[in-house]
Amino acid sequence: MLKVHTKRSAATVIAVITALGLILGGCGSGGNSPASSSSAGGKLDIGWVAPLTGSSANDGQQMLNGAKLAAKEINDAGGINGKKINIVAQDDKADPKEAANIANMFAGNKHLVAVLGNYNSSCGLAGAPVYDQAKLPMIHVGTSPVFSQQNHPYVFRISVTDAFQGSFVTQWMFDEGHKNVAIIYENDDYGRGLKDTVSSEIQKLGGKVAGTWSYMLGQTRDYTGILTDVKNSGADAIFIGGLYTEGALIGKQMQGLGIKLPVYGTDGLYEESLIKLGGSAVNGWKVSGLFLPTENDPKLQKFIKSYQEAYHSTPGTYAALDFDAMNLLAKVIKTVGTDREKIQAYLAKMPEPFGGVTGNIVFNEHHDAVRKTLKKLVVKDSKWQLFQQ
Amino acid sequence: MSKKRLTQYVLLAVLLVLVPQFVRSDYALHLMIMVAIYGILVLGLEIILGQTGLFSLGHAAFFGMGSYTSALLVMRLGMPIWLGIVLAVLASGILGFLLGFPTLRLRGDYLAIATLGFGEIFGLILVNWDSLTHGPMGIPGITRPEIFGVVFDKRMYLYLIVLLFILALAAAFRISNSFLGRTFRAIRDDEDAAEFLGIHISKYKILAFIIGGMFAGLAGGFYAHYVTFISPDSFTYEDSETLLAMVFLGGAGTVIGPVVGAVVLVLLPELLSFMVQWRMLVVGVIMVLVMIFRPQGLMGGGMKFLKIKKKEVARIGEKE
Repeated sequence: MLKVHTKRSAATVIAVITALGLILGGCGSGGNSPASSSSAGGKLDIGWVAPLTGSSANDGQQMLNGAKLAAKEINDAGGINGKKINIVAQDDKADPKEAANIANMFAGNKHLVAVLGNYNSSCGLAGAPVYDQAKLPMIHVGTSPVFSQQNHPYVFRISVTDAFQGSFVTQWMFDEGHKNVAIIYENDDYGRGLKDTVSSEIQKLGGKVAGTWSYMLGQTRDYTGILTDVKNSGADAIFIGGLYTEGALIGKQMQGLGIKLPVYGTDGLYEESLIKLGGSAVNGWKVSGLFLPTENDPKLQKFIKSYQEAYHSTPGTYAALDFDAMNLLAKVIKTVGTDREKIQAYLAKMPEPFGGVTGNIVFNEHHDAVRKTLKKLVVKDSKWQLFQQ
Repeated sequence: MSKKRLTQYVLLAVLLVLVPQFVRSDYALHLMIMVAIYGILVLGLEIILGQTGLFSLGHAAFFGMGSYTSALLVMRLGMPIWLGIVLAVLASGILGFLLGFPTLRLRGDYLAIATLGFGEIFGLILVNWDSLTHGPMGIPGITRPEIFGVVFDKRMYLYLIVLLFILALAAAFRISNSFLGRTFRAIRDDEDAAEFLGIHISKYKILAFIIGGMFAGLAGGFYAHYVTFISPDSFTYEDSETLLAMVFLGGAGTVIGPVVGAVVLVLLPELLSFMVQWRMLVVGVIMVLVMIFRPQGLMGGGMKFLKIKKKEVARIGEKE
């Protein structure tokens, strides 16, 4: 009986491998042929990848909306040199393994000109070696400092680094006279990066870190323990390195405990939802951000108006970042054509800054977008407003 | 070895060498590599879950242990990659031993919860033991293997992982058809009866975790040097869940079944990639349908063989 069993298994293995070969041979060639017909039809394929499912799906969807809006505007105006932009979107589920799969899929598609890339730093880093090898330019919105250390030639970061945001906010706290700061941060690459920069900046400026406390994204609900410790530590301000949902919870529990310390944060807190969830508890909170929807800048107002018309919601930071990334790509392709290496060369040494809705963008030697300054934003009368001295 | 089987093996070897030569797309090569990695992973889980019936929800931890061990040994101590992978297998085996001990007295649901906790603890250690693991930032730029001065390309990776996979498959069959496999299945079918027959239950349960862990360690060691970036995000509870789904979809207890499950669950989402965010929904529906119409799994037809065996060891007082 055992013999029959193993014999059948060997045959099964052969069947499986043959089937696998057939499927993959088929999908290898099938994946390329429809694209070739589409590019002959005057289309320009741009890859897009970020999470559309899972816990970061909201930001991922905003990114896709922003990219699609930019593509639609460019196409309506006649496209790039007569070619229409076609976004090839993929969902990486915020899983680095899936991101590597998709990077390989994109790398194998010879008709992709460039890729608008991952939201999660870990996903971007898993795909980066593949993009380098395939010489496929990729613009992503990750924040981890590892990107700057790795210097991937074909990978560009359009978002603001943790290091820049952290030192910007630290300087702001010092300007306001807060020199003994408690840091509450999310225990992942985002929060950890911010905690590290803010603590080292505080020490550099001659201040003191009253203490650091971490929490788990999407898991920690009770912050009363942390907040009691913060109160006892004698801190004169709190820095939160994390996202708005947790931020709002911290705010409400601070109110419950009667802690009235000033709170600072970065663009992770900068969301309408912070005010919706936090209510009066987040009044007076100060964060750094790239843009303010109510700001009186014609380019920004146009973007916000068309975004609201298309999606019936106010764009967040990530929608604006991918809107800029797509427009930047369009500008580069218009200038140097669709050659991937030329696009990379242009992005690596931009002759002039690109003026986007998130400000002027140039990439430095680490391929990080350099920004002169960030906006100082504050919650006032349950609205995001520009901070005035 | 009969002539028929010899022909089968020769055919198999020829196919394995030739197929990659005809695949021009790097994407297809990458998917074949991922299938083989998951294939080795589920062979390990098959021994723990399919053969021994230990419901483990922490298999990704063994995978992560293999990845981190090899990556850190190679990057920090400058060890050769081949030694790194061997030590990764050993380290994951030791981890299996460590998991086996405290969970000895647990069965069924309780064991599942304990292994779930084990996987979570492992993830938290990866995130928080900064000085060793580089925390949530992960380890980028892991060294690629070289042979005669040539850095591995996708095709060479494929040949290597297929070789490792065949070794793992042969080992899995060998274990399954040996005294060891029969002991594992005896424990799965009725722990008390097995103990009554003189089987040292604790010893074999721990052994199942050690062997299963070693398989995952092998896959992990290879994965680290293939993708060249690892972070705690790659070894989460969801990954343990996916592996579990592969085993059940293919058919637990059949050795080859889980491998088929791995092939299906790695390739299906990619074939459906045109559906973007809806594809996992379709994969889920297919899983549910399979579980309704073939609860024994796709390759679970061999269960007839098991049923006969079960009748033979029917409990006293049980009516046929």
